Amino acid sequence: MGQDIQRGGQSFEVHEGLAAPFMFDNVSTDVIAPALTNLTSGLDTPRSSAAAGSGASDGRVTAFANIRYNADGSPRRDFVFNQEAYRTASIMVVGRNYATGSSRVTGVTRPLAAWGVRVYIGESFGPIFLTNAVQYGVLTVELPRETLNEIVKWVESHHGVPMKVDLERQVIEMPGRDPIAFETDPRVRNKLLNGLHDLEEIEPHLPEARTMRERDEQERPWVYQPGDSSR
Amino acid sequence: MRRRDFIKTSVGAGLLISAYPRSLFARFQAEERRGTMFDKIWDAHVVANLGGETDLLQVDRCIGGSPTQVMRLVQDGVEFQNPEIFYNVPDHGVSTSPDRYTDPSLGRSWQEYEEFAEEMRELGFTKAFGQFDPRYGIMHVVGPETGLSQPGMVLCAGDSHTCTHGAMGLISWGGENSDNILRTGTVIRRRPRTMRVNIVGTLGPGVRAKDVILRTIAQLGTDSGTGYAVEYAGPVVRALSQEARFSICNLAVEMASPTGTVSPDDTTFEYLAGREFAPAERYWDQAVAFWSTLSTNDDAVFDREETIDLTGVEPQVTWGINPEHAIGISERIPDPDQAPANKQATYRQAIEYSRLTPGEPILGTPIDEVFIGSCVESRISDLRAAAEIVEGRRVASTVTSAWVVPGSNAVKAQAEAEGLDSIFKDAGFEWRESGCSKCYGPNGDYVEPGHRCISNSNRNYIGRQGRDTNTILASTTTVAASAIAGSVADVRAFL
Repeated sequence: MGQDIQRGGQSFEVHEGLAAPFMFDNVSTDVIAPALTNLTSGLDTPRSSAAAGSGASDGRVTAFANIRYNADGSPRRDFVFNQEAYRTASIMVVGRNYATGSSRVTGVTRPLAAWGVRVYIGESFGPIFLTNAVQYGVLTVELPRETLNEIVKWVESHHGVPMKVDLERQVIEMPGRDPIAFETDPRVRNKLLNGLHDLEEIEPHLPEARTMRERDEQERPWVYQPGDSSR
Repeated sequence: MRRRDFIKTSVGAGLLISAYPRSLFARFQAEERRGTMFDKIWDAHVVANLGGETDLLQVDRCIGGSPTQVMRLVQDGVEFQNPEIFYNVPDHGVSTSPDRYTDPSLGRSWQEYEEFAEEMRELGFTKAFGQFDPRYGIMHVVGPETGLSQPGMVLCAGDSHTCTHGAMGLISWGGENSDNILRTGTVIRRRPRTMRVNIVGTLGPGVRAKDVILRTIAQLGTDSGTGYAVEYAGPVVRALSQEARFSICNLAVEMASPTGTVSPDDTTFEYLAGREFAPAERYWDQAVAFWSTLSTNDDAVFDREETIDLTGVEPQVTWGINPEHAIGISERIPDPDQAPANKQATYRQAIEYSRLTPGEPILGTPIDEVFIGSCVESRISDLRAAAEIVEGRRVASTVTSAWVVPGSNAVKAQAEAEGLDSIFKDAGFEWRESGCSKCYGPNGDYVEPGHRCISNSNRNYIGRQGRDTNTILASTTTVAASAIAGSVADVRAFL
């Protein structure tokens, strides 16, 4: 934990870890990565001390701040990562439309990836979060609500027992019960398994892009000459 | 034809079709396509398919906001593709205080932005607007207002409300890190499905575009647009002004659709005519003729169709913690026990956070702060409408802060030329500089902890405007009326 996470080129094959249930719907990035916190004093939780020093600027300290701490900086007991059973969780089980709202491109996935959160299992995700997650080697798995409820039930009765999320085989394995299969977009799966950066996907097509642009400059010259004073 | 003389009769006659290259028409109108505006524009921008539903697309416009991003790439020795498609407006981190030009402790450093804009212009990024630039403002106001955002384009930016520009008849979305666009002029995107939201009926008294879109989100749900690009259509949308259409498309992302659009028409072209970066005189006619072919065809097929009937719809206000929690002004705060089963938990959380009582009317709920601004409704027509409500009246003494923040320096100048600033100031409002301001807070403009703010912005999530703050979303005129009343008010009583 506490490693610096760069955007792009992160691979993902299998992840084994503890899961934390966070079953709220429409959790906005305003909650995950608050733009504004009125914390009045120092923070002292395992996850923030891991983030002390160089981590301070990447959002690890302020992640979830408004529901994670009281105004005096003391941890709130009702926040999942402040609870003993979930302190070191690296998988989040979430509800519908998780991480909707603002982009916060580096503020939402990255600090949690730096904590070690590598998998989100949820009913649906905000559109920007989906694009963002794959950039940081973070896997999002979409499952129906009933299946999520079963997973949560298992998690709550198996504190300290890790689950295994296998992207190669597309299954979630939980000791003592049948594995749960999931599907991922083939391109996203390939990208994560191979740790591809966007640029590696784009570069082979740059000659086509150049040809298309040259033609477009002829066909739609006004797009390329904004504010041309010789009008 | 001179651009500024553009009139309605020039379009639709089919006389101008030959005025632009036939290949351009072919690129945007291939036969096998399904005839939506979205499909026409998307297909014409595909560089390559990257497998499954994911394409590599050409980008026509990219907006930056960070003052350091381009400089970092310069330090890395990156070669830029087409710097002319990029424009830069650092809007989020700025203070809107009238003292911002002289007090460096407010928001981010003005001086830094100015120097940065200068450096960018030297690199060929000629559309870098620092805060002293008359074209500076909120990027989603500035883009259309300067004519940089035009029909038929693919436009990307980091900010999620980039969907606003879709009202110009283009496709846009936020959440993109512009590094790769600056490097390659392209973007990787999974193709969304298409949804048309047909808005029918008539706007009742006091009902504005903002009320229409809040009603739409309340009816369809705050995640209804997941995986879709939305086109807002129907007689109501056709009749809306261009500025009102921005308000509709701005909240597309609040129904979880990163892309909201309106097919372009004469209203769009008239709005563009004469703007600084609109097509030059010698291209204007062919541009308009081309744009006229982009609208969704009559026989187009969408993956999903929804209808919103405005019959009986009143001015809307939100009571809860997401934009779907909107009710009519004369309705009561809902009881979580009566809510649909899958929403009860969120309703309970909302009631607890908002400190409101189920069953009580929302009308008359006391407010502490008032905010008029943001990329939803901070354009000149919005400020005129607000000024009409407050003229000759006074902000209630119980309201501790009432701000009007114009969407851009140009809007501010126009409002001042019309004397709107005096109307606001005489009524007890603070008249501010342009920027994102209290819509989200980290620029030094925020709502005080514990306060309830009625706001014409787009998000009311927990902590959006500051820690332990409550946000009631409403239209600009409802916000203006509520400022006078000191509590959530029915704007119809002020008309």
